[in-house]
Amino acid sequence: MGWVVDHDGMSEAAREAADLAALDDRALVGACLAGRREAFDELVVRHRRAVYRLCYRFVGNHEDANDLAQEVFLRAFRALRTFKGDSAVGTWLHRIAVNLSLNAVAGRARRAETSDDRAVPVARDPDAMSLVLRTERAAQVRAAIARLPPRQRATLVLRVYQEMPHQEIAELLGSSVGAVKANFFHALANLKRLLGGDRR
Amino acid sequence: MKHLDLGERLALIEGDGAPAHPHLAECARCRADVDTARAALAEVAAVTVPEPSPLYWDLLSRRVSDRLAADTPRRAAVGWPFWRVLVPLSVTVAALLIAVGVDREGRQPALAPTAAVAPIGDGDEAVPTSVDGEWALLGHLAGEFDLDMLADSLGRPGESAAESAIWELSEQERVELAALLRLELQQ
Repeated sequence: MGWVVDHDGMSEAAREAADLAALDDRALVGACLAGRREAFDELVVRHRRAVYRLCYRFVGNHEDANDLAQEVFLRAFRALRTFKGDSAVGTWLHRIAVNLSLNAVAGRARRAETSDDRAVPVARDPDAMSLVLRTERAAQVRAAIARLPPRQRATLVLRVYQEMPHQEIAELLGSSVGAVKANFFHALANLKRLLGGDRR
Repeated sequence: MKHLDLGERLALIEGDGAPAHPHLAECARCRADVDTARAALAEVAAVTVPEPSPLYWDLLSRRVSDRLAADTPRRAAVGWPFWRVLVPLSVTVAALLIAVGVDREGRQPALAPTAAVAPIGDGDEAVPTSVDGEWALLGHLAGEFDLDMLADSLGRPGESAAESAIWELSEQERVELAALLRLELQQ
């Protein structure tokens, strides 16, 4: 398939991609609704990392985070017409990601940490040993987070990693600010209990 | 002694460099709670998401794009079964209208012969040779009309119950439909 190259030496596809890259998120949504599906590809490029990372925080492994991230964008595409623009596209995507992740963690058996978490290097020197210990500890903390009740986990993830205000978390989870604060506090207390005195 | 409430504890746990609450100096329980929660928070915050391969991000985009591409025709087809049903149904109705029209024509007393039937062979079979003959032929064809055959030739619609209900008319329902159409024409 040959692309038309204009006198600037820029292909039509490249020019179109550049045009889309110049648009802000809301304009991309508008372009997408007007039938330019490539506009959604640009939205995916902009938000894929944040969405994946948020999903990973909930599920704790790459495979599930990958599945969830794809699902988030599919749901967003299907619901694009319902996007009112009251919030940023990123916030809207986060909301979809959180809801899907909550459903996923509530409905699925907890999966053990995957090989990428367990693949600790063989320690041969003090630095490597330190890396081993840090990696192991991170895996333990992730596993402990995965064992938290869904609401506590969601609150913890949104507060610590997404740095969301309590009020926003409350709106997202459909609860009160007081409940969010309580969940956050209990999440930390439970984590300490789950991790025990096994600090290294 | 009044202990710290939840808001005060969280402020101390999350507040970097927040001034120590005077209560902490005298209450070991609240101090322990805050210290424990701070330690847990520090551990949680230190955990990073393992970075996938740099190639992963484009792969993720491609997978989303592929799934959207696979999804779009199916979604675009949401309105399509309507047409896939409407078109054959229109044909059916048209055929029934023709059949009813021919039937009505046949029942009217012939004021004057408008058709000439030419005998063929020994005269047992007749071939229509005029306008009325063509109507008769159409009527005959409509009488032989087979909905299933039409469905097969135009392609079955989707599998929704509504579509099936339209397509799978029983013989009696077809007769009733024809009767309704006939009544409508007589009015």
